[in-house]
Amino acid sequence: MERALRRPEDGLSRSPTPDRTATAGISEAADVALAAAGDQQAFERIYRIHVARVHSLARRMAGSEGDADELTQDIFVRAWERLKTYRGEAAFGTWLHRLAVNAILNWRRTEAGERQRIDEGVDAELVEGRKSAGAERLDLEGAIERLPRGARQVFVLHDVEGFKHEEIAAMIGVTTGTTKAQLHRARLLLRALLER
Amino acid sequence: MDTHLGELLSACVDGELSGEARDAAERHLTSCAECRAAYDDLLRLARRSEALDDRPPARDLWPGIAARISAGATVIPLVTRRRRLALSVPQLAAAAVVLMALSAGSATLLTHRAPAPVPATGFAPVSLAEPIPRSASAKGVESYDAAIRDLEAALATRSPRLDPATIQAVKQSLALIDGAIRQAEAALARDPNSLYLNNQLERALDRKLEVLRSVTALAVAS
Repeated sequence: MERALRRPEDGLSRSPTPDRTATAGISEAADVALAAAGDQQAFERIYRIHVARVHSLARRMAGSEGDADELTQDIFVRAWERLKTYRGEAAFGTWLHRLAVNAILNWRRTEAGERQRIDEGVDAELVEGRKSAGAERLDLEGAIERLPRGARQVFVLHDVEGFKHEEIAAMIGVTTGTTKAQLHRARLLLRALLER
Repeated sequence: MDTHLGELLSACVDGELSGEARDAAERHLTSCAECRAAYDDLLRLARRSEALDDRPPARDLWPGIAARISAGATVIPLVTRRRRLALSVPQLAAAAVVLMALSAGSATLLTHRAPAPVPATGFAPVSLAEPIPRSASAKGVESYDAAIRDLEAALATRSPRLDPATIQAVKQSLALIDGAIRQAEAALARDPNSLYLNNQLERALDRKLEVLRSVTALAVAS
């Protein structure tokens, strides 16, 4: 082996919500206070800072740009309505990110109920994704979009967002054994998609 | 380990194995080209995934958000908010005093120190931005300072909208809280490792932030 196996302490370095710079945090604290008091211009500044992160999370979790647009709007409206509950215990970005994850997971539960159980559609969904991909060479973002919903959800939360299996299991109400199995399946599917 | 690693490959990539399990996996990867190739691919994939860049939506979503929050089905109208806040500010000042009195350390302070004199009108010359020396041992003091500075700046531009009596009440509250902050810092200078004193300082800073947030909210709504 060229490289020893990764040890637990190596970990993935990405944190769920990267801290903003101190300067951004300072001005943001004032904007959050103003927005909580009803100042929409301050809230728009907050939106501009965080929209790329929230939309990227929504796009990867939902698997489509259209759903991500709708989810992003819902998340910011919900954030506006709940700003008064933000007490500053965590960084604002962390609070917003957690709110976004919860909103997306709730949306996904509804989606799953309206369509079918996540695991039942795995093979059909992947095949459909392959058909629609045609001969096009996929980049990683495109390949993630073509994952089955359950595997995509766990993959995005773990490998992209940096959540631990225990956290993901608690959020979506399954065991860590399930999240580990879903993660491995997602990785193998991505490997196959990217090799095509 | 004769069989392929299967799901253990992901555990290897995530560094979740230790001890004998890890040694066995390493031995297998040394001898199994198929698992080794998969391991290398999954490791590269994990690294690419954590480095993915965020990108904004293709279209500006703000107009839709602004329209919805302006419609505000569940958002409290500004008029209502203003009325509630206008009623609460004198109570806010009183509450700050009560909180001070309930604090053992602060109660001592109140018996030895009168509130600092405040100007009769206007917020611009107020001692809100008065620099306060800090104990290096007080955790998170810099972040408090930053938030306080920003709120003070926001308030300075909006304070002319406030009623002079409200301004006076807020100034008195802030003067009391600043006194508690100085007292805690003076004590911390003598005993920098005191958990109690550090907590007192944090509580006083929290109170100052809360007063500033509330009065800024009132000024915005005015």
